[in-house]
Amino acid sequence: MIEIDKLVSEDGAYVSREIFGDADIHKLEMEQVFGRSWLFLAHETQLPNSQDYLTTFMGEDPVIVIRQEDGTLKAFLNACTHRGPLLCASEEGNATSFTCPYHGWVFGSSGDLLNVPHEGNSGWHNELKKGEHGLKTIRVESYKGLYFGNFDEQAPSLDAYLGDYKWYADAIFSPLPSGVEFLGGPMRQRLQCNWKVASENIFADTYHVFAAHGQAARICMEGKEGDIGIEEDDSKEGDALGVAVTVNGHSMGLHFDGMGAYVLNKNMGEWMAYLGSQRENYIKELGSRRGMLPGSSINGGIFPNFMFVPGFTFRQIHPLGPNECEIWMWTVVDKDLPTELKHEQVRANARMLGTSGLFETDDCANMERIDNTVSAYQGSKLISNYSMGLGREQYRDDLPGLTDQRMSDTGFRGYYRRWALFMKANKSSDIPLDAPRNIEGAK
Amino acid sequence: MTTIEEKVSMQLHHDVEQCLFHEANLLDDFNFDGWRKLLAPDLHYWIPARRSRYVREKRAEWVIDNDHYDDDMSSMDLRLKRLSKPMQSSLDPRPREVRSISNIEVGYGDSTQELRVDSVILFMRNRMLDQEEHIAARRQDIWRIMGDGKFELVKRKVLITQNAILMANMLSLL
Repeated sequence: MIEIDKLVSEDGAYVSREIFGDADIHKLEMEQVFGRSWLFLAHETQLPNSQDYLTTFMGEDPVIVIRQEDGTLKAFLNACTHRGPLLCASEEGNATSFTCPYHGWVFGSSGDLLNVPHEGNSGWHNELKKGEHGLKTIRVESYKGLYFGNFDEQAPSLDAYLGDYKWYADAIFSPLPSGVEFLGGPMRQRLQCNWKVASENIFADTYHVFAAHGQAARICMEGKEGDIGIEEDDSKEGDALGVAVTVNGHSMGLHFDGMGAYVLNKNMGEWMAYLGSQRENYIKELGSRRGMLPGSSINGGIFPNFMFVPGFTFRQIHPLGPNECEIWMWTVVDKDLPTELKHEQVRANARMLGTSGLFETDDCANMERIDNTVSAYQGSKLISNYSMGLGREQYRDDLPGLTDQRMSDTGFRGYYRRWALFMKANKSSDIPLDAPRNIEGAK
Repeated sequence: MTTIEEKVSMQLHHDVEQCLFHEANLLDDFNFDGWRKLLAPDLHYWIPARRSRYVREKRAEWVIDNDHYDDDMSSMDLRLKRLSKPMQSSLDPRPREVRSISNIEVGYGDSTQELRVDSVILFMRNRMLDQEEHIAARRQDIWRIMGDGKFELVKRKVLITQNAILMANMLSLL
């Protein structure tokens, strides 16, 4: 019997390291967390045409996502219903049907079983009820072009699951009427650590930036003016300290600086010119306060494993057992961004937080080093500390969610409180959602 | 990748081969200043992402894809500065690296001053106490002839075999 209350303190500030390496806890996570959370599947720009498909994972399960003729997206377990071979082995493409390479069962893009070899007297004697052997369909809902899947029919809607987090997420995924674009396919990177270790870093870890990335940041800032907004400076106050927010386990750390996402880029002037040319439009779309978020220094994520640092990386962490994961990284930009800057953003992402990234290497090293200790017996009994800013969180009347200054573990605590709720609950309706708040000052 | 039809003289081939071996040694020794001296100012260093798709797929390649490297000299300089000062990262302690270069074919490029050089690199790395990693790649280079048996690397396209990167990072130059 796994006792979740002994693993995560009620406030989420103290977490047993057993959750980063224990095989039984991992198995329970697949059922309780990945079996009931809304998991990112695809962005609409990755599947522009009818019957475009891609293959991905929900937890450790292979999944096909395919655009239907009516424009909607469907998702299926990528497994033949007959004997289970991976049905589609291509990472992306366009197909009207999928044929299992083992016995030749043919499934339509709608998931229906269309044909089986030897259906008549030479085999099945017309007794196979094809209508009962369609692909296992996964519930799909979308938000601002992002499609998510959920294995649990009883889970709340994606809209309710995101709740007030939408106020923040809009600025990332819908800053302009034309929306954003996912460029290319994902970079994939295997890493030897628990999926939560790789996730929490981008969800909420502002604290590590200078200790871990000081060297890389100094090199990239050489000869440039300004700072990256989170330097150690006890004289700062108010918005200069940025904001950490948690809603329903989702997290964001943000400043309203309007430029932090691009200060490390080459040709910073071109980026500032683009942001300057769009700022009015951002404000028109998002309001005067939120309209400053596009281009700002931001990190965050949607529980449990989809996350972003706009200007640097958008990613999903797929679990692979308790001690390994695979990081998928995308480049996401305003659809209206000039083509040359789109190219440059892809290059910048690779250079900063890609597989060969100057910053990424620091993170991967630290994540591996956590894995080095948490699965050893004595190490697994130690407690990880997420108590920075504990007790200082507040519900502000000008911002949605539970907030603190950005340099705070507020986001981690929200994340692990949520994780504990999922791990304990017998059914989705037992997992409470943060009540939406009407924020007048947020306009 | 198109193959090289017309080969250069044995002497020129030998000089290029020695250059590639020297380059591999510099990188194995983390001698980034030495390696930088081999680079042309108009360098393009490119390691594209490899995709796994059905042969029959008609859907076009991505116009813009997330490549592991797509660097000119100015961004390569940033990388070399970082690699030269590893601090607490995957590269300190330094991994132990070996590059084996083979399958070398040398032909003339677009001009008689430029050589098209194809090769294969087998890269082995062991990190920390026991982390063994490797990657294989086909390389397609353009080297500029500088005289006295010297060459400058103008273009390098590296076709790695891995889709998901199975090494902890792609920081080691190939």
